[in-house]
Amino acid sequence: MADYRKYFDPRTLARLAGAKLRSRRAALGHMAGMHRSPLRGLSVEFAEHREYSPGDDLRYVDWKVFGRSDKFYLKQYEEETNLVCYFAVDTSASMGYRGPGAAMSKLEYAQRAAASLAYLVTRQQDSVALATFDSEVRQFVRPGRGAEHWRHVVESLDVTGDDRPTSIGPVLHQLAERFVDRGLVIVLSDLFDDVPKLIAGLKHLRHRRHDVIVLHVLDAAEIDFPFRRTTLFESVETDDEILAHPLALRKAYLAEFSAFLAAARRGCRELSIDHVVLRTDASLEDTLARLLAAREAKSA
Amino acid sequence: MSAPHVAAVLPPLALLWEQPWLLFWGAGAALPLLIHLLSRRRYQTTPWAAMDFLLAAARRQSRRIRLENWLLLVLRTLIILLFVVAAAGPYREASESIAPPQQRVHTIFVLDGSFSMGQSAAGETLFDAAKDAIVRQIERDERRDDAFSLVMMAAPARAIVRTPSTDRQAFADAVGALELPHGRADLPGALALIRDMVTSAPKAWPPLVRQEVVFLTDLGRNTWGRTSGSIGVRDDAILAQFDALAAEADLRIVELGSRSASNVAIARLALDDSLALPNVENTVFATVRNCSDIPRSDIAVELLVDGRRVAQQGVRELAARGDATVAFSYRFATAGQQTLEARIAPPGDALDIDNRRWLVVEVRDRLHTLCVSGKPGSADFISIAVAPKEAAGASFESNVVSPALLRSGLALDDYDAVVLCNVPSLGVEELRRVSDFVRRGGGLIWFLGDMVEASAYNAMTSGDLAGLLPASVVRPSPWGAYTIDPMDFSHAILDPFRGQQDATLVRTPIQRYFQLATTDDATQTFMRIAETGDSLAVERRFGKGRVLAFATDGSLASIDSTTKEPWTYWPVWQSFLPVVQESLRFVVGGRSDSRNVSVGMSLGGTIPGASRDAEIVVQSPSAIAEQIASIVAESDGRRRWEFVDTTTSGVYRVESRRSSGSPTESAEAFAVNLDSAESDLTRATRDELPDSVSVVAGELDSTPEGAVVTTARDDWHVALLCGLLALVVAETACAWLLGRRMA
Repeated sequence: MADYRKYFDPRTLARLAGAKLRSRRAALGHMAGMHRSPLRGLSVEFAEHREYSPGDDLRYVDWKVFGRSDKFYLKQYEEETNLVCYFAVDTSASMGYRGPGAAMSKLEYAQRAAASLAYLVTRQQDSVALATFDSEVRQFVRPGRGAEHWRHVVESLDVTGDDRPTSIGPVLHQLAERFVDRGLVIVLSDLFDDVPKLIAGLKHLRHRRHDVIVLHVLDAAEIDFPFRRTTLFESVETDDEILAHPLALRKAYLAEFSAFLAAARRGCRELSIDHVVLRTDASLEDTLARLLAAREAKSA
Repeated sequence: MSAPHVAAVLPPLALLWEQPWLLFWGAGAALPLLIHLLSRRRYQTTPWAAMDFLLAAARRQSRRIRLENWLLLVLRTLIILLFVVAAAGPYREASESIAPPQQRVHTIFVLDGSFSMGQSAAGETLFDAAKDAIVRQIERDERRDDAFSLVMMAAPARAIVRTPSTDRQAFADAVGALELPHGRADLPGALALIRDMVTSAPKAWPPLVRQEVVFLTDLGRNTWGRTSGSIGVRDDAILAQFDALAAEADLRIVELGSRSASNVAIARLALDDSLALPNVENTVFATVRNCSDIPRSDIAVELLVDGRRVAQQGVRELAARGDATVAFSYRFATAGQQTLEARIAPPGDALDIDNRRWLVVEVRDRLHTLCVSGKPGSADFISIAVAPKEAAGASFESNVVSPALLRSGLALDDYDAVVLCNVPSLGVEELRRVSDFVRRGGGLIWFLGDMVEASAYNAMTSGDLAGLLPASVVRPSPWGAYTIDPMDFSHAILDPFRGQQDATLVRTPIQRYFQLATTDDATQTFMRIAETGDSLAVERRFGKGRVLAFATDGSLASIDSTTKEPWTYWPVWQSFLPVVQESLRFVVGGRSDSRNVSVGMSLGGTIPGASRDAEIVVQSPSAIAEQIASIVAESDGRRRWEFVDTTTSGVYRVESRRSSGSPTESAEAFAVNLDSAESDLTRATRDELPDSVSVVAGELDSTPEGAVVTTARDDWHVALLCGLLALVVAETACAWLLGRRMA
């Protein structure tokens, strides 16, 4: 059994203490909570007035309005419900890459980010679900609430990167079918897959009315390509290798990588999906704080 | 030379090296490749996740990167290779001129005009073989735009066809009309002429692409040798001429004939006495010279007089490089001009031209001497000495005149010699007339006595008259008892005294004389004052004549003012008569000298009579047609003729006519002989020739088997260094661009 505390960074949690992770879309939950429910009816928060028509339940007549206007209006309430937050964490071999000088691998970074956010969601009395995947779904933790469930989620997160390649597009289709309740889906991956397939998978999730956040986890070396000496690059997922002088390839590589990033960002934007790049050399709490603040600002 | 033939003769990349061992450093060319391979072996390994992007980048860049890497590798390898090659000093020698068919070539054929080209090989002379080779070459040449020029390398060198000619028929006709001169070759003059032609040819013939100079020669050492000491002597100036020419044209020598040719020549033909008299036994000397390294034997030498064979002598043994002289006794029956010829019969050697030699002899039945007396009695003894009453077969006459008569227009050409006896000084007019007389071959004898004005005499030692007085006059000697040192009787004038050294001449009493100072090496002293070493008698040539001076008087008229004694009693001494006689014979020999000249020297004489329409016709030995000599008028009103085209050896007959078409009034003969130095057929070796010239043994249009073939040197240093510089610049630019792209 893994020690969940290794993902429990006090600084990160302290930084996220006041933050809330909200879905921009109405969530459909079983428990009353801070999230809006699309169902009108018995609830605690007033939504709107509607003119009375014969047959309406008289319990919802707003008598104060009747006293002022001598007209019958019914109160309409919006039910507040709980959020299901799905974490889809890429554990493929490419996520195990840790560049020169990096403090942790992309997977470790993704695990910490997922654990922190899951803690935040749990603290909001919302449900947390987890799926880990590479070329297919490897683990699935059903939605649940409470500290105990959170620990279970964190323990499920505690996997080492395997040597299987990423195939995120088909996996997202599978997850879209398995994430039954509408909620917030947070994908943590380096997205090293065919971009059109990736976009197709994300589209499927959006089709299921999920609010989706893509946390694009990348190593600084993958972004900056800082190598200078002749290097034999060995693929962590396949048997491919290439011996090259990095300076000769750098421009072309950066062009290819920038094109990939731009395509991913563009695809997400078209699907109204938040695409946030997480550099493994950047402070996790800062990155998450900015993400949450940005979402709060958009929700306000 | 057609291109296919050239390719067969020499591979295009047949290179020679100055320091071939340096080429081993060429292995260093592998260094960039090794460094490249080593650098690929030294690398770091890293796992990599974003492999697809790296592979895509590599795919996109791989061709360019590989190209750039190879380009840099090739450039660096070439830099090392070129450096090593340039350091090794490559050069190419082409045995033949290489002219691609599309090039227009200007070929200057230089025909050796030295008479050694007259040697026979395979039934024809080398000169004719060279002419045939030139004609064959221009007929065979398939590049119709090619042009040709022709130079005759004689002395002086002449441009036969100067402007590049594309008219092959006319060129062949010009070649065919050439005749071999009997002179030597002026190599420096020819090189200067060729350089001028090469420089001016591109202007005269703009389509010109390349020029080549082809020498057709027997490579005689006299012309080409390093130590010939003749006009062909090799020195830095000639080498510089060759180098300058090689910079503008390809130079090629076609060596004709065989190196083993042997030759015997008549090197000298002379009379024992410069004064030939009728009915007097004369001895004719003919010297036979063996110009080869093989001894010869049983050589017959014939003597002909006026074309009639009169005697024959044999040389039994003739050592290699040795001389043998045969002597013919001959008595001239009559006076007048007679032509002697010595010839080797039968010739039987490689070169016929020098097997004959001629001598024109003026057999005199009368010798007329003019004695100019500067003081009464000064010419008394001399006039008797020059005209003795008893003389075998000839009459000796003398006239004694005063200096004033000399000034008045006395015709000096009527005399054979002039003796100036203690003449105080001569005016300008007298000096001019006397100097003209001597220049034309007349003889002049000075006797210096108490009347001589030293300053006036010394004025003759500079300017146009320099040499007319063989030595400058210093001052009269102190009074004393002097005798004569005959200087071993080495001079021809003293021949009669040989064998009787104790008598007569050496005891000749002389009390006073003029101290003389010789001015140059042309003056020879043949008698000295025994006690002081001062010159007593000196002689030299002046023009075609001879001049002789005695430092003391030829009479008893010069009296010392103190002792009242004469300067010398020599005129009454036994030795006086023979010395004066021999001196006279010596100075009149100048006339004979002017009739016996070498090839290339001009002939000349005075036109008899005063007719302005007079014509001088010269019949040269080789010319079928007669040639007209040029006529010039001199300041004294007399008219002289001159003929310069003495390119052939033999006897030239000169006839004077009162006018064109009129009968011959007088005829005279001139002997024109070879310079026997050219008879030496020894050839220059390859080491003696400039490096910038290729030598092909054999025909112009072929390279015989086993022939020594060295080539015009074509240094590649400059081209290689330029290439090296270009490569360094290219490599720097490539590396900079690559680095900039990587940065």
